[in-house]
Amino acid sequence: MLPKDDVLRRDVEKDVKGGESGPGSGTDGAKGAVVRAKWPALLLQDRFAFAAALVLLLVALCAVLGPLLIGDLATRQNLRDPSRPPFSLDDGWAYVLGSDSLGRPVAARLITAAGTTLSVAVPAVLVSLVVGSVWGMWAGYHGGWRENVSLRIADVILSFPSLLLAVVVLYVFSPSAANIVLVLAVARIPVYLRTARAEAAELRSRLFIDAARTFGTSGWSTIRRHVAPTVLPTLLTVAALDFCFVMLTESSLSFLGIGIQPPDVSWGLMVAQGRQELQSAWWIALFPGLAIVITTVSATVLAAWARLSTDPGQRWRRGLRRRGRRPQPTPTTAQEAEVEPTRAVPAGRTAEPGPAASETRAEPTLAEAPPTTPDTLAVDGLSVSVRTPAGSLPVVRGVSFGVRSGETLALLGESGCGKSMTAHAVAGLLDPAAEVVGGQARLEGEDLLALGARARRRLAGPGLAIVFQDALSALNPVHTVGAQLAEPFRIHERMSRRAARAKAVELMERVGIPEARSRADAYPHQFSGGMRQRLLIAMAVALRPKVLLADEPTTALDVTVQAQIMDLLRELRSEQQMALVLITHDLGLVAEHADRVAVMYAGTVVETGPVAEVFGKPNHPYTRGLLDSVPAEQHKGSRLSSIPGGPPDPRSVPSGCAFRTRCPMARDLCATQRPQLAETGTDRAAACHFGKELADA
Amino acid sequence: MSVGVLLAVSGCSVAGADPIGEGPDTLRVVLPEEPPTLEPCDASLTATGRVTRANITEALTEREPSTGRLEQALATKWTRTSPTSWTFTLREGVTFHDGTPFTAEAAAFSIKRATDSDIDCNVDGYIFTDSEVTATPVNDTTLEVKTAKPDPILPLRLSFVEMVPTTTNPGARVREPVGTGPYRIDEWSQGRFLRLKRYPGYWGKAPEYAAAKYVWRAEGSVRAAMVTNDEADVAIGLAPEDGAGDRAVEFATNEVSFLRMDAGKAPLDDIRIRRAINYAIDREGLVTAVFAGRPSGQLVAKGVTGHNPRVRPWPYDPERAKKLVAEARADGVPTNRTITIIGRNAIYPKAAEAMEVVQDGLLKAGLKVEIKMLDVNAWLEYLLRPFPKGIGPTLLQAQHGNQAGDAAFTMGQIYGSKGAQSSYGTPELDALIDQAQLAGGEARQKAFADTFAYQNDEVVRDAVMANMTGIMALSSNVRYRPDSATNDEMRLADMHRTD
Amino acid sequence: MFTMLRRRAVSSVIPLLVVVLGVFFLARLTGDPANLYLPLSATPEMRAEFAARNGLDDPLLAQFGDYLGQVAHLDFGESLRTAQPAGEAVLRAFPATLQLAGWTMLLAILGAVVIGSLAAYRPNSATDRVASFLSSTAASVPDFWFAIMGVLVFAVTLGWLPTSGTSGAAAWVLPVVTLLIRPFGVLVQVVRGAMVSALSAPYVKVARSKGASESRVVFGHALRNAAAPALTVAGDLAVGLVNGAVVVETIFGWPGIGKLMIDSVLQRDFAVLQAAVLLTALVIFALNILVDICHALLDPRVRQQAAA
Repeated sequence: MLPKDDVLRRDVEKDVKGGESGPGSGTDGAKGAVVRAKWPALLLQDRFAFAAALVLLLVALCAVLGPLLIGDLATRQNLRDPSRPPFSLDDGWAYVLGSDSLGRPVAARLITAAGTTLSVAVPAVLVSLVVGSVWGMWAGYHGGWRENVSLRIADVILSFPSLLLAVVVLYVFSPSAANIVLVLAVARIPVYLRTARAEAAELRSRLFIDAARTFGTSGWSTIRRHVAPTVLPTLLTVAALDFCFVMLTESSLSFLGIGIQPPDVSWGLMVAQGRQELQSAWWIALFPGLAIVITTVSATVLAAWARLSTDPGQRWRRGLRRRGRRPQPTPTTAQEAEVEPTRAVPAGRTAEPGPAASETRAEPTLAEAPPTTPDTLAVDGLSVSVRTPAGSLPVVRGVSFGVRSGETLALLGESGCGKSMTAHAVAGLLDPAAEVVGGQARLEGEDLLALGARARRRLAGPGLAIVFQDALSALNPVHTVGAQLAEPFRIHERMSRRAARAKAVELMERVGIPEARSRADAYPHQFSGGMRQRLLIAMAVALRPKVLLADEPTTALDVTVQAQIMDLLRELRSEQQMALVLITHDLGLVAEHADRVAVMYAGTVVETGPVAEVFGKPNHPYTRGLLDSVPAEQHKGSRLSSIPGGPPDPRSVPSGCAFRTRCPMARDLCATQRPQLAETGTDRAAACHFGKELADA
Repeated sequence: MSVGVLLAVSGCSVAGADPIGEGPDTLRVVLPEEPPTLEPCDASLTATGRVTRANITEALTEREPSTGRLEQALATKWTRTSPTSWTFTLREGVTFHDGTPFTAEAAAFSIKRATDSDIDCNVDGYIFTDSEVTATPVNDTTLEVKTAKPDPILPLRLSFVEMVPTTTNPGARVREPVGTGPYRIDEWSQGRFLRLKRYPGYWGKAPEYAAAKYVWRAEGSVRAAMVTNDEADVAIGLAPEDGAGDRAVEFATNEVSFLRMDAGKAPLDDIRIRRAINYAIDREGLVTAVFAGRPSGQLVAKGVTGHNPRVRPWPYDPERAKKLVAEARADGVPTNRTITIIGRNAIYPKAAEAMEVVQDGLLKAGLKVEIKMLDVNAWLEYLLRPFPKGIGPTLLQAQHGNQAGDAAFTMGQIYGSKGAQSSYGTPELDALIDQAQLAGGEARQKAFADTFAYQNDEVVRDAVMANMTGIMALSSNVRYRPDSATNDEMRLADMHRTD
Repeated sequence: MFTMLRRRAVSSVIPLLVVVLGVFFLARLTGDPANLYLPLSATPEMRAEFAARNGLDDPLLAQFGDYLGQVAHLDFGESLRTAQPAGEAVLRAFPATLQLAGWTMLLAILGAVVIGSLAAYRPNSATDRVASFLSSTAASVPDFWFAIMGVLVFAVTLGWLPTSGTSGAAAWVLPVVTLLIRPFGVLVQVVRGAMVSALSAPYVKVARSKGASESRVVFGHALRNAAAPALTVAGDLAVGLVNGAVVVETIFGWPGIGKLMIDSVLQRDFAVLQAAVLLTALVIFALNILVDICHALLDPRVRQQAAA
């Protein structure tokens, strides 16, 4: 049993120090994209982190070399002429920051003090980090009485004000650097203990059913291999802030006269002694104070950076830095924007940027093909780029498709091909790292991408709605489902709470939630996966949208539930005359539920057409490969993994045809010229130089 | 949410608890610390005495700090009737704040309470260490006091015994005493302020201010700022760097800072080393850069019976110090043995820096020195007998203030070989001290003065540093002349308005 | 919820006892108070008498037993220094610190929510960078330095605020700001982190896909999810305020429990120290429970776990 308080505390300490979760599904294209560069190179890319690292290096150098550099300068007193003001070089560089009340040079003392300061702060932080985290992981991994006792010990230590504890202990054992380290470490151990325990306990609940235990690996090796790597980034961030805590507490101890003992000197002691002179000689306290602040800020910056770099889910954020430095590309400069990243890629990876410019021309062929009835949603040459430290990276490259009322269009492709990104771009839900760099998405003729935020919000719901993949994370865990279902009515139709709730219950009944009236007050975690997906669909269709984007709506569900959900979607589609865009990697789903299909590969549509025709006679080698890899009539649930090789990294998409490296039909032409989506039959198109051949074969 | 609950629980009792705007009739005084109690028999404790003495309670006699003469207070006359007995004639028409008259009975009660009770009176230990007294009322205004041994300075000792009515609890400390002084306690809101009000039935001249309000702030610069900011009229216990500016008033105190040497332990058992230490300390530098004071060569200040004007501060002579140490080393004195300076935090402003100066001097003289700063209680272990066992030679940072004005309160305790604070003494010095203590009048002055000179020349147990200068801040609308007793006894009646 | 409360209360008893035990023995290790309370020239007999009168001559365990017995009757002993009941002294000082801490946390939380949310709204924007820099600076300023500078600048030089004291609203400004600065700095970073995480959660996208306004997205959906981590850290910071209170109370003459505790250590006033630590520990335990209740109120999943 987990003691309650710590269940409560768990997400906390995890989130405290920057527990930013990974990006949403929209950036799946970017995630794998970032090349694992060496850390010094990464450090150089971030000016702040680099500056912080320099500062810390300087402090460390002072600590190590200080005594050699300074000699006895720091203790050379001049009682006849004390407290000389700073910023004068008359008496040599050591006096550039003035001198203190005994006439000793402040600059020299600062450098000497760096050693003492670090020799207290670093061991104190390290000891509490190591002891606390090992103890915490051990407690969390084993659970039971070990965990309980450990947590109660932490409670005891935490309920002693740490400054008081330090004072009492230092009175008992006399103030020395070693004792200060010890007492500060003890005071901070519970923080690490609780954080590590919480994370370990969470992992334990997962590992329990996992193989690790049954295979008989020992507790410690499991901890080392599975627990430590997850826990460590968080703990390191905590440690950076603790660095500051230790320096400040040491300073407060000096204020009370039991810190570092003179003639040793630390920054904390300098501030504490200098405070007496604040009115007559402000520089004595100010400079060591600044040293503490700058060191701490640097440590925090570096810790934040390290966290960003070690956590794969966080890497994409680094790309955000570019924002603002370069003017936002407008749709008219889309082509340039697309070209640029290719140049930014280190030389030798993609050698031929040449054809890129010509490639991106003349995309909107399909959209301009006259449809029999107007498309409800027409996406036209949509391009999306993700900002990375290396530059802007195109992940959706001129995608075009259209879908009519009452029709289901499937966007089919492997993960990472840009299909989710396409949907999110259309719905206006891209992560900050991604941006639309070109194209249009017209809902009944109105370009969504050109609309202002307010107009866009008005359409979100009644015009266009989206169903997400993971219903658990897509439902807000802290609101009742009733409230969440009522929200569209409250927002768009300004209904009263009561009326909206009645509508919500109605919706729940419609999507088949039993006992809807009472369950409207339940929370998302109290529903099964299938029910949650129904709720999510209900929410999306609440305002009878003209277009419904369903982004892998059934991936997380088991097969029987999948079918039920798809049936529900189909019913709703015909009932509400929606245009349904089904985003999936599942051939079976497409075969069974879609009217038309657009097959995507490496950020572009490679083939479109009615499902039966496309699957019956694919006009693109990729589509053919897909179908070949699955025995006929057994499409359902199969994965697209049987083509040799894998989809290309968005940073190194082959020139010419993106598929050519895996294509059995590839020829020289494919390497030089990018094939455009071209008509290969009635209502069919393929982006292959041999599309026509395949169609006619 | 939690915060809301906290606030609701705590209510709002702090705000407006001590309104400013006391009006011009109230004198506002800011102290470094709140008095623990106002117990009259603890009046020799600085924190208590500076509020209580001569303001709330009074003694039979009082010493004029500038002249050292004993003046009348609640007694108008005293005569020594035999070597061991004295007769005091008490002032008539004096009433306590509760309205009861001050009588010989009350005086006898007060003396007994202070010197012979379970309260552990500070006065008892400080003033009556070596003397036993019994007081008996003869009639309402006559008191007879007998001592076990002849005591030439009994009236001076009695200037520390504050008079309280017989209704005062004889078995425990009282926090808010009743006295005969010009002010009585009006309100003591603990932690916040203490307000005194003029006592209308006071026997003497009524003081100028109708009320006085004491507050306390631990930080010197804040105390100084309160005066410059017109939040207080008087701030005491300031350091030069606290920034009182032209509001600061300096005055000589009776405090003398010194280092006590562990002369029984090598290398401090060699007088050359002890002299070297004295030569190695830059006293002028200390009073320029560290604290306010005047270099001094003896433990009592001018004005105290026994002060020897011919004992000069040791000159700063690093070369001579070096030479002495080298000589001693050549004779086999273990000069490389580490000497520990036992410092006490906040004993005076920048206490640790002062010890760094001393250490610097001694290192240059060729000695090995470490500093250990302690809090009061731990430091007291070193100050008082029995001393901690198994420690090396020490130099103890100390300060001595002879409040009573007679060297007897310095000598026995600090220089006697058995003295509670004495680390070392010689039989010759003991003999001189004993002799001086029994002398009276001019002979007493000379005997003690000779003892100081002897100590300084032949024993050199200490390195006396400086007679400390007190700094207080006075607002422009207060006129007050601080004297050497101000830190221990701040008479509100002596404070006047400038207009 | 009541089950949870009861369980927490029961499981707090032993740690509380350990705290009392710890402070009792640690305090006595710091030395004999006789030196401080007896005249310097006190004889060994006076010392023995003093020890006997204050029960300091019994074996430590017997002393502890006696103490527990007394505490059970809500008798916390008498202060050596001020000759008054220790419990009374502590109870008198406590509200001042509680109010100071209450206002401090209230303002720190409000400020951190606003600034942290602003920073998180556009991660890595200029606002974000400035907020991050300022908050980590705030978290690393030595509080006593800040306090004295505050007095010099705002009271002495500018004359806007009183230097110290507890009278009037203006007197609260400097103490509260001094006490606030570090928790505020830490909290801004926590809120920012939690908000970045909440704002990139899928449910926020869902809310946007429903056409929710940005304020509805931030305050209606993200903030409540981000509140949980911030709340726990706020709880820990509130506990740590006792440390800052020592400095603030010392400098501004605030009659609170922090200074009382440190003074009672300095003065070896064991009864007051013990009473103060016991009361603080009680309040800290209560605060932890309060934080847990808030968690349960904020998050239905916690509520369910607690009920189980």
